[in-house]
Amino acid sequence: MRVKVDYSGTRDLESDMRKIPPALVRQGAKVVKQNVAAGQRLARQYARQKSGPHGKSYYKRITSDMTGPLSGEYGPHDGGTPVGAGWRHGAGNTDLPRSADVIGPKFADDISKVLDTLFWPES
Amino acid sequence: MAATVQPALDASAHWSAIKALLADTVGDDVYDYGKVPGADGNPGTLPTAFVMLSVDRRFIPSGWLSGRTSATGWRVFCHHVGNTAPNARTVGNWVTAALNEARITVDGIASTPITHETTDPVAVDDGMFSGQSTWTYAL
Repeated sequence: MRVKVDYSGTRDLESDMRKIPPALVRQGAKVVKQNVAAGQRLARQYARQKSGPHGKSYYKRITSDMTGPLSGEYGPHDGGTPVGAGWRHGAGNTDLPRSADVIGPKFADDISKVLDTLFWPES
Repeated sequence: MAATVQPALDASAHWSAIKALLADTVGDDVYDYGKVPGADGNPGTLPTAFVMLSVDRRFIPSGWLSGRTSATGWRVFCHHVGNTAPNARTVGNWVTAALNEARITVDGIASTPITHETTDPVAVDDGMFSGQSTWTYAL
């Protein structure tokens, strides 16, 4: 009986692993961008839904930005008064925490899917 | 007819439990929004230092495709208000001392330790000084 070993398999493995870092940057950036945008959209919806006449345009102040290849942020930008900011103006403003409640777990989910596909590419 | 609420889902029970925690450090000056004496047309004189409290259920993700969760998440929102900036900060410290890492029990179910989420600094606010903080827990 003879055992035949084919080394080309490890060469494939090596080249596959070399593809992982650039793939992570490419796919990760996409996921970060999508989730930042979704978070901003949610926060805007909450702000719009809760604002009274004085805060009607406040939701437009909630903007988003990519701060790096794999990082982004969303939140209020430059002034304006959100509903519930002052103690006389109703129960406090939770537009951002509420959107983070949804986006935090969703983002964790999305990014772990990316990590999965890095080692088992679909193509 | 009183609405039937499942155990530990009654927001009023949560509000009262948090108020009881705050009573240790803040005392009786813990109010619902719109219920502060001397404000919003309420009778009485405005206290020099007080807390406005709201407790709401928050979204927590489900491990099930059906969306079923075996736990409920809650967010505590506090405005700490004082007639001077140091007063407002002192009330903020009282809130922190009462809530930080504390647990409550609602309908016999013990909560996770209350975790700090955000704080806004004390600033001048409509004739008073106020800051705000949010806290979360689950049970």
